Formats: sequence, structure tokens, C-alpha cells
Amino acid sequence: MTTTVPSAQQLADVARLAQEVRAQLDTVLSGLDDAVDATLATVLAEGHLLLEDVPGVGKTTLARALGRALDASVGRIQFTPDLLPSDVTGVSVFRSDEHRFEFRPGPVFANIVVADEINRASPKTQAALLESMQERSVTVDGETRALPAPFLVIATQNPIDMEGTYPLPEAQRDRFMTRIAVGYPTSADEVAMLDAHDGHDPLADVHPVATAADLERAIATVRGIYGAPAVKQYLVDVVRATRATAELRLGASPRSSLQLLAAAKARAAMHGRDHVLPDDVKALAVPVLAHRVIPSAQARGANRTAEAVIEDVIAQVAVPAARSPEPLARG
Amino acid sequence: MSAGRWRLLATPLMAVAVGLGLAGLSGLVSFGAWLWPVAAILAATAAVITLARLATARPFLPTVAGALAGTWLLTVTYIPADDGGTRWIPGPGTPAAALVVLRDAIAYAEVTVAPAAVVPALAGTIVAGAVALLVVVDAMAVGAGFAASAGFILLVPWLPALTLERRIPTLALAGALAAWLAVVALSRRGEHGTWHARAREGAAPAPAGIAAAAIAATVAIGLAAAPLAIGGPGWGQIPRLTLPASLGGASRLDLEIDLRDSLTSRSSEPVLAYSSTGGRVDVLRAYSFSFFDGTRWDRDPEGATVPANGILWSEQVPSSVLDSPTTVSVSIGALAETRVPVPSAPRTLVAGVEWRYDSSTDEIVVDRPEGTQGLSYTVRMASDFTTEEALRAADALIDEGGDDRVPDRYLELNERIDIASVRAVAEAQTTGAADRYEAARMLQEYLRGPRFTYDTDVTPTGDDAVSTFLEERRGYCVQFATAMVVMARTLDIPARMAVGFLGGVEDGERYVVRGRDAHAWPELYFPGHGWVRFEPTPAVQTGLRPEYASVEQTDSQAFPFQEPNARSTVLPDRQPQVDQPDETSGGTAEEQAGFPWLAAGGAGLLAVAAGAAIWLRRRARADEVEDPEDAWAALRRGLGERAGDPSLTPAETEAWIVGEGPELGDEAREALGSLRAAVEDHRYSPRGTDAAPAALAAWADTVVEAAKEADRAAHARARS
Repeated sequence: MTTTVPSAQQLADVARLAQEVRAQLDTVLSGLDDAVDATLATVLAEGHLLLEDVPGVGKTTLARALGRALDASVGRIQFTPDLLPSDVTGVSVFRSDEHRFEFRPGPVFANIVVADEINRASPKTQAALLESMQERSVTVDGETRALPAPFLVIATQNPIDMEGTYPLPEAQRDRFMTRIAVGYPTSADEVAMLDAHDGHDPLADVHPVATAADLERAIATVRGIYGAPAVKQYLVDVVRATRATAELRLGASPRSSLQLLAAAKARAAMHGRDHVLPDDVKALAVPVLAHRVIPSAQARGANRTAEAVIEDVIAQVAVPAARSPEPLARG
Repeated sequence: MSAGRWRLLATPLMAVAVGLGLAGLSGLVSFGAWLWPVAAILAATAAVITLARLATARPFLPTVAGALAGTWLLTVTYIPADDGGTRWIPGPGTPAAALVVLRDAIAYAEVTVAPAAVVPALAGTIVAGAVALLVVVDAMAVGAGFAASAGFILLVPWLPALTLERRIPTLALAGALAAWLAVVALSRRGEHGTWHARAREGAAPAPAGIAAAAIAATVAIGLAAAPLAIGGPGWGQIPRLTLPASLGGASRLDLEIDLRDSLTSRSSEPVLAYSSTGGRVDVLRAYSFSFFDGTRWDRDPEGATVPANGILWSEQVPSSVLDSPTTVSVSIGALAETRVPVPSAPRTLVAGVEWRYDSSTDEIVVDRPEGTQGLSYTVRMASDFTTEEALRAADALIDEGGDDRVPDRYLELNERIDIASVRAVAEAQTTGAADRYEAARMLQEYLRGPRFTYDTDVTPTGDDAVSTFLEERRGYCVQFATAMVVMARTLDIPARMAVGFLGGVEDGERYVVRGRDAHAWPELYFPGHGWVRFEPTPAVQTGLRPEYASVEQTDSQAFPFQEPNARSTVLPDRQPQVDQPDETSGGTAEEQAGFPWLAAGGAGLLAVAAGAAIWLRRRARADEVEDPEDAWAALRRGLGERAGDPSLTPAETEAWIVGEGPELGDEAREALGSLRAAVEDHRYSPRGTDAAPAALAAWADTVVEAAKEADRAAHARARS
């Protein structure tokens, strides 16, 4: 995969795409700016998104609105305890007239897959989806089929202590680039929501503003965003600090460093910048890191969430000043 | 005031401050017509600088022009051409000629008694110093923009006055201060329009190094000029720290006698030595004081002086009194007085120099620039002239109006003195006195008695030091002598104070008089006989009474003496114990005693210079902006805690400063935004930033200055 330094035009395209998608999402969900931003960054960074919160705050609406705003194929899977892996990936059926098996693609064969209540399915089914997220392909009956690009999974789940759930193991949570807690809307936003839903489905108002090809180009642009040594150093400082703090039993993995940088690049591009700022890293550190770390017993005892711990860690890591490296002496 | 206009006013103001600074030399040189060319040259130099400033915007070019103009005027005025004419065009020989003038000035200063009459060479040297000072101050205050720090440099001409504890001409000091403050105020008003603006346009900010160099130059000038000003050995030698109270490196009696001053130091340095055919002389007298205002003594006015060669005495005495004279041969060392110290008795004087005698004050005036320094002379004196009988005999003449011969000033009592109570004490102590002699002796014994304590440390009191002394009964010779003079005057006995030296210590065949032998004593008038010394200062410090005023039945052992204070007990060869008013209050000052003052002055100057250098260095570091990191660091340093903690990104820092920090104006906010963008580009962008270092420095400076301005405004609001 080659990356090129994005041109101003390409950057403007990304920024405009982000702006338009955001505008579409805003017609459905008001007051979720941070969640929408993180969502868009995840989309542009080719990550997968885990929306986690109590039922009824708009997780699924957000996922569906995103699918509509991007004029891309959308697959939707409602996870239930009896869902089978083949219900996700698809099955081969015997065509008696042609005397051969024919593959019926499952809902995972789409640009955007909305996996509702992923923690309600059995681990086996969960694993089928998560493997396809990682491999970006599906192997059925010994035949590997590539998933379409771009490929984005937006999973929603209820908090893990709810009844009838199979919590995602850490290793599988790690496959999601970001986890976003949607949160309750503010009073004013909730009133606005009541108005918007009065008599019609607001999702019907969401128009596609970008094609899959547009999204593919934007993703390519994001890959070319420049991450300066000072920013990478800062990012690594933050990630390492999560491993050092006594409030976390498990710190963030090196994979999370990669994902954090990718997400930060996407955010930079969304702001029309061709380089990452530490502000991008800061803005995405909680969504990218919080679901990968495990608070220590001590932090849990103090009722400290992983989000709060990571925010503290960020507040303690100094933003390094950079001397531009001296050019090596010539001759 | 528009950008830069303040500079046109600042240089003339600085010239005024420097010119007024010459008043600080008032203790060293006497003022006269030579001041006019000084003023003219200073004014011309300032004018050239100001005109050059009108013509060019470069900060230091006008200063250079002024320096050249001042140097040329100096050359024309004070450095004669080889043929004796005016040196219109400086040539290759000029530096050598200037050096000759300088050497003349040093040589003159070394032998002159302060306040010195100013000869052209000395005037030229003073002008050179003043012009150099003006140039340095101008470069610092106006060129570099450090108007406040330039105040340190303006202090230089006042250093002699400060270190010598001369009385400082208050008006001149106030004027100089006002001029400096005006420049500071002007520079602050003009600031935002001047070098900040230039810096933003891309010109380099004023180099702080030049200001540091100016400080260094001032220290150098000060260190080099100080020995010259106070008559040190000149240049080319290691500067020898000499006493401050004189020109010429010699000791002098300090003639500013104030009863409120403590006696702070004593000198064991010999000032003169003599041999005598009649043993140790009681005193060597030099000066008379008659005017006493309650705290301070003033000299007698100089009366009619005559070149005399007969018997020197205030009364007519027959030449037969010198039939069997005591011959005293005196050689004076490093003692630069204007009066020749001689024994107090009818005498003749043979000296190798011209001198005049003033019979009304009994002073012998020597008219040499170096005064008595190095003088050798022979005195023939009638050592047993004053006797009890002779003094008692004077009483007859008192009744015949014999006191009318002496001027009224010897009976004058200042209204600040509580005359009634002093007279009450005096009368109580002289009850039963048969004549003036007995009254005088009773006063002397009263003061020498156990009720009075010798103490060099006196506390400053109000306007009537004598009454205080009579209550507290502590003091040194000046207090004792003054008290006796005032008490005598309340009894209508003409009295005055004499200052000179005690007879010193025998050393082989000679007697050596040291600085600490300086002494003050009262003289009372006996008609037909003359002015007679009494000794009211307790024996523990002065030795014996005069023979004619001794007390038969007792001597000093009868009194429970106070021990002399600790300092004097550690002095070597302190036999007999003598009393000496220090240099601040009426004694001699000499090298050793002068050293702490000069050292303290020098150390103070160095400390100020070091502080200024550190400050400038910090400031210079802030100004040495090469990339955005430097400017950002300067901004964070300038704002301190209000720049937020280091975990903030540049953008967050900007938001923090705008949100939580001081109230910045639009200009400063814009500068902050520009600097933040430059820092982000520099750190994080693949292309870096193209902001010029000068612009970065100006942005940082604008924000820091605006923050300080906001702080000042907030303080002002809080106060009001």
C-alpha cells in the first residue's frame, strides 16, 4: 500500500465529506457531536466502531443514519442468542437445476455492516463476525471471499452487565478501533428529538451524500496524512503511560498505538490538515484506548472508569517540544 | 506620542541628568567658570545625537555621531596643539596629547586638597567623563531601550558624594532623578510604537548585548575614574584604594563636625612626626571653629591674614617670651591640611613654603595646592607661657573690658540651644569660682568627672545636642569640647573650639602622631593672655590635663574610669589613649579607614552590574529566537503559570491563555494565534513554518507585554 502526500484538493474533499455526513447525522441525532466526530474518524481510518450504551439512546439510529448518508451497501444483523455464524457470513446452497453449490452471501457482504446488540449472540457467532472484521474476507466451505471495500462494522452493544449478554472478550474488543458511549442527550436535545420524530421517521430525511468510491478515496487520503516525530512521540508517551499507571491492570497494546495514530490522521484530515496535531491524539485517546484497558481492582474500588483513568493519564503527559532534527553534516 | 518621537526628547533629558550629576563632585572640586564649556559641550553632544536621530532610524548611529562630536569638541577645547594653538583637526598625535592632559590632571589631583580649584586639564578630564557618560547612557536608554537600567549608570557621578558622605546638593539630585524618570516614562509610552513594531516588520530587536556592553563600559569607567577622582595612583597601576575624604591620597581632618555623628573608625596610620627639645607637646592645633548651631560646627571665617615672621599669637606678647624656647621640628607625611598644625603657645614658624597667619583664628594658612602634605617646618615656642598665675592675672583686664577685643561670634549662642538650662548647669558647677580661671577649671572637672562616660557611639538627637549631652552624659571629644564651649559662653566667657592633634607617642627620638590622635578641644579667652586650651574629655581617652589646669589633690586614678570601648582596646600602640573624631564627624580619615567605604561602594556597583548582567542575559536569551520553539518557550516563560501546564497542546495553551489568562487585546490575541500556528507548523507539519525569527520574537514579546500590561491594569483596578 503506498501513501502519497495528500493535495490540498484531496484534503478539502475529505473535510467536505466529513462535513456533509455530519450534517446528515445531525438531522437524526442532535447533541452527539463528540460521538459523531469519533464515528467519522473511525470510518475514515478504516476502523470498526463499537457503540456501547444503555438501550434507547440512539446507537442503532446513528449506525443506520451513517449507512444511509454514505451511499453504500448496508448489511444489518440483529444478533440474538440463536444466531448462527452462517447467518452472518452466508451459506452455500445446492442448486439442483445447475447441480452445484451456490454461495448465498450473508449480511456481512456489505460496505457497512450494522451489528445490533452484538453481545447477545453466542461467542461462536461473535467470532465469525470478528474474524471477518480482522481479515476483511470470509471463508466458507474452504473458499475465501473478499469483502467489499470499504468495509466497516458498526456494532452496538448494551453494557456488559445487562441480562442475557455474552460479553466480548478483550481480544475481540481490541478489533474495534473505537468504542463510543453515546450517552443521554441534554434536555434541549431531547426536546428537539421529540420534535424531529413527531409524525415521521427522521431517518427518511437522511440523504446519501457520498458514494463508496468517495469514501474509498477519502480513506486513501487519510493514509497519507503526516505524523510528525513529535506527535508519534507524544502518542507513544500516552500509550506507555497507560501501562505504567497503577489504576490499570492492563494497559493499551501496541496495536492500539497504531489505531490511535490512524484515527488521529483521520481527524486531522477531517479538519483539512495534512498533518496530525497532538490535539487529534488527545481527542481520540479515550474512544480508542478506553475499551482496551482493564481498570485495576483499586480503580474499580474507587469507582473509577477506564475513561476517567485515561483522561487523567493524558493530563499528566507533557506535550513534547520538538527541535527540528539537525540535518546531517554533508561531505 | 508617535513612534520614536520620545527619543528626540530623551537625549536632552539624559544630558540634563548627566550635567546635574556633576553636582555630585561638589566635595571634590570647586565650581566656577569652567562649568560653562562643560555645559556647552554636553549640550552640543546631545544636540548632535538628537539631530542624527531625526535623520536616521538606526538605533545606535546617532550615539556614535554624538560620541564623535563630543570627542572633537573636547579636543578643540582642552587639548592644545603642539605649537600651543587650537587643535582644530585631530591628528595622529592627538591621543598622545590627550594622554599628556590626562596625566597632568592625575598629577594635579594627586597633590590637590579638596575641593580643588579646577585647572583646564582637570576640567577636560571631567568633561571627557561627562561626555562618555552621556554617550553610554544614551546608547542604553534610547538606543537599546533600557531606560530604567540606565538609571544605574546615571548614579556614577554621584558615587564620590555618596561614598564620601558629602552633603549631596538635593536640588541637583532631584533634577537628575526627574530627568531620568521622565525618560523612563517617555520610553514606556513610546514602546509599542518603536522597536516592537520594527521587530514585527522583520528588523532584529535591539541587541541586548549592546546594553550589557554599556553596563560593562560604565563599570570600567567607574573603576578607572574613581581612583582618578579621589586622587589615586592613576592608570597603569593596580588601583590602590585610598581614603575617600581627600584628594591626593592623603589624610585630612574632617571639618564637618556634627555632634549627632558617632565616632566610627580610627586610624593608626602616622600623619606627622616631630622632634622636640622640650618633650612631648600637648597639642598641635590647626583649625578654629566658632559657629555652633546646636548640632553642627562651622569654621571661623578667614580674617585678615598677613605674611608674618614675628611671634605668632593672638595677643601682643613681648619677644622675651621666646628667650628660652622649645624647638619643635615637624615633618608632615600624608596629611593634606590647609592649615599648619602648630603647638598652642606663642611661637615662630620657619617653613620652606609661603604661609600667612590669621591672628583672629590663630590659624596658619599655607597656600599650596597640596596643602601641608610633605611639609617640614620648625616651630620655636614658649612652652611655659600659660600658667595659673598668668591666667588669674587676666581677671583684672576682664573688668576693664578686655573681652571687647574678641569678635561677638565667640559669645554667640544659637537659639536652638536651651540656653537657660545649660546656663543653670554651668552656674551650678562654677559656684564659688573666684575668677575666670577657676570657673574654667571647674567646668573642665565637671565634664571629666565620673558622671560622664566616654563613648564613641552617640545616638542622633534633635536640634540641641548640648542639652542632650548634658542629660545623657555620653560622648567623645567633640561632645565634651562643645559642651564646655557652650557652657563657657553662657557664663559670658568667650570660647571657641579648636581642632588638631594630640601630641602623639614617643618613638625613639621622635614623637609620632597618628590619625587617631586627631582631637577637638575648647579654647577659652583670657584678655591680655590669649586663647587657652582646656581638656574636658575624660582622661581615659585624652591623657592628662594641661599643666596650668591640673588639679593638685587628685589625678585620674581617683575616678572610676569607664573602660574604653572594645574597638579601641584592640588597637595596637594606643598609649596614651587618645580621642579622634572619625572622618564623618570631625577627625582624620586615611587609607585604611577609607577602604571599607570605597570597597562597599565598589562592591555595590559590581553587584548592581552583575544583577543587570544577569537580567540582561535572561532578557537576551528570550530575545535569541531562532525557531518557534524559542519563541514559544519565551512566551511560556513570560506568562509563567498562566500559560497552563505542559500537558496542554499549543492549541489548548492558546485557548487556556485566552480563556483563563490575563485580558489580552486583539493585537496580542492575534499575535498569540500566529505564534501558536507557527509552533504547530514547526513541530507537526511536514513543511515546517516560514515565519521569520524576528516575527516570532515579536509575537511572543507582544503577548508577554500585553499580559504584563493587563496585570498592571488589574492591579490598578484592585487598588482603586
